[in-house]
Amino acid sequence: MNEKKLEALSALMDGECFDSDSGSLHGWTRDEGLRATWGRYHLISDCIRGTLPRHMDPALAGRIAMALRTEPAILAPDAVTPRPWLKPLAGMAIAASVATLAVVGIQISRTETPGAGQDSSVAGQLPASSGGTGGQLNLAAGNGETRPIRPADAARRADARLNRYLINHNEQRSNDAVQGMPPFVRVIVEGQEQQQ
Amino acid sequence: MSRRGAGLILLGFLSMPALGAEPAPLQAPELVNRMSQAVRTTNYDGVFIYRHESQTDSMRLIHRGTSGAEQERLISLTGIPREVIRNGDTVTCIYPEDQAVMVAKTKPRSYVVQLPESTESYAKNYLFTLAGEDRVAGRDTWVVSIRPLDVYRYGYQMWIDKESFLPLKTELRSRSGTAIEEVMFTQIKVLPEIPEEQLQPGIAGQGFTWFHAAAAEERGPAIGGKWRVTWMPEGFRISHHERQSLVASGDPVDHLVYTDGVASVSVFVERMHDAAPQVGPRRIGGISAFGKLEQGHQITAVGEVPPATVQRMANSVVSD
Repeated sequence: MNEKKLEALSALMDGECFDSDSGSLHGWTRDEGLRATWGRYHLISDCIRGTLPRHMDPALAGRIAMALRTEPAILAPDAVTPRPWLKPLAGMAIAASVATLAVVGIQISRTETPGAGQDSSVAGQLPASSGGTGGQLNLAAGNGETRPIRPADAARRADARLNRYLINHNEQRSNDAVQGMPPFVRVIVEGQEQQQ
Repeated sequence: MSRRGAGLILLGFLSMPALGAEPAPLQAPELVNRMSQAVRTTNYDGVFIYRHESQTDSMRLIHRGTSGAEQERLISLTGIPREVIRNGDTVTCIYPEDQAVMVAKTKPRSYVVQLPESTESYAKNYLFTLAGEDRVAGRDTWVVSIRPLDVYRYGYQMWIDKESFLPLKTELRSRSGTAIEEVMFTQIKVLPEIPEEQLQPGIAGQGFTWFHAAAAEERGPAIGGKWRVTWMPEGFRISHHERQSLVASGDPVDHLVYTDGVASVSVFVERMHDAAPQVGPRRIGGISAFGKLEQGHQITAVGEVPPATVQRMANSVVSD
């Protein structure tokens, strides 16, 4: 380890430009001694600034590096998992209730707008922020391929059935009884349901 | 006069709010009737908070009721920006997080909802009082209290706009007076017109997946059907019985509605085709539900009533 490298290391720590004469960064990372020096510099720096944590594990970096080395390489890309229709299965989601209302029990057709992807791509391709991308949803749209949908599992079917009941009840109650809460309030909120 | 003396006088004044203040033009039940009508036939655009359990959400509600079919648009202002749009009998729900649009047909709501004509029928079960005056969303309101007289019902406290009769604040309350759910407008405008674009979704739906109820549900009166509820709280009566034909299974779902004019309980009976029965109590905000299995049928009672009420009603269902 020469003087020049240490100077460059120090400069790098101070946020100064990396001196290309001192060798590539990649080379540095392979130099056990330089890595240890780099670690000590940071330790000193943290100590001077009073930012040392109460507990330190000097071997942590080494263990992570080891774990990474022994980790098998994953060559296949992650599978894109479609977002489950009704996420909160454990505590059925009234928020998603209308979704299920339409999905379960009744014969449902699925219509994809032109340009929509297949099932598996649904999760990934859409602008997540729905608010202000300019265009408007055309409520008259929806003339595409249709196919029946089968709910995934029993719990989902049960929750969906209850959700459908809630919608029907809300509609009917607003004809028969005193107007209470705005009818769709419970449909739009997230995660308010609870199981007794 | 001492400060304490003034305070006592003020306290006395507040406990008799109608005294010395502007007299209410209508009694509490009439105010509730006017409110039920106004909420459908008025054009308004407002922002409200919805509180339930320990959660608070904010939403915007735009409603058109003066021309043609009733239209409204409900937009969630907190969390995921979901929208629900009603246009007459079509309800469209937009779920950006799922990139999905739900379309469901409902029955059009009737424009006039009245408490039962006979005062007796609800007076036995609820105490309607004009509880005072208050300000909500910068507007003057009458406060109407509807208190249940037994353990099988919930009550309401409603802050009704003196001018428009819109409910600016509504609390669903337990018998002891604890608020279970609350809706409160923080601002609201009553408008002569609602522009069409205000009722269109603000969400770009490119690539969204659409879910339609493929066939309209066929509904027909089937009073005297197979299933009956043999216990219900005093003052409840059956107001509606319909049989919805569900195309996929070919089996109908019986939907029986019982009401005392204030509260309403739905009982659904459906033959089970899968191994996913809904058994036991559930709770969704102010709604209680109870499910059970009976002769291979799923029986579910749902309503804005205490859990014990739906449980007893569900357990009392018999088939003739």
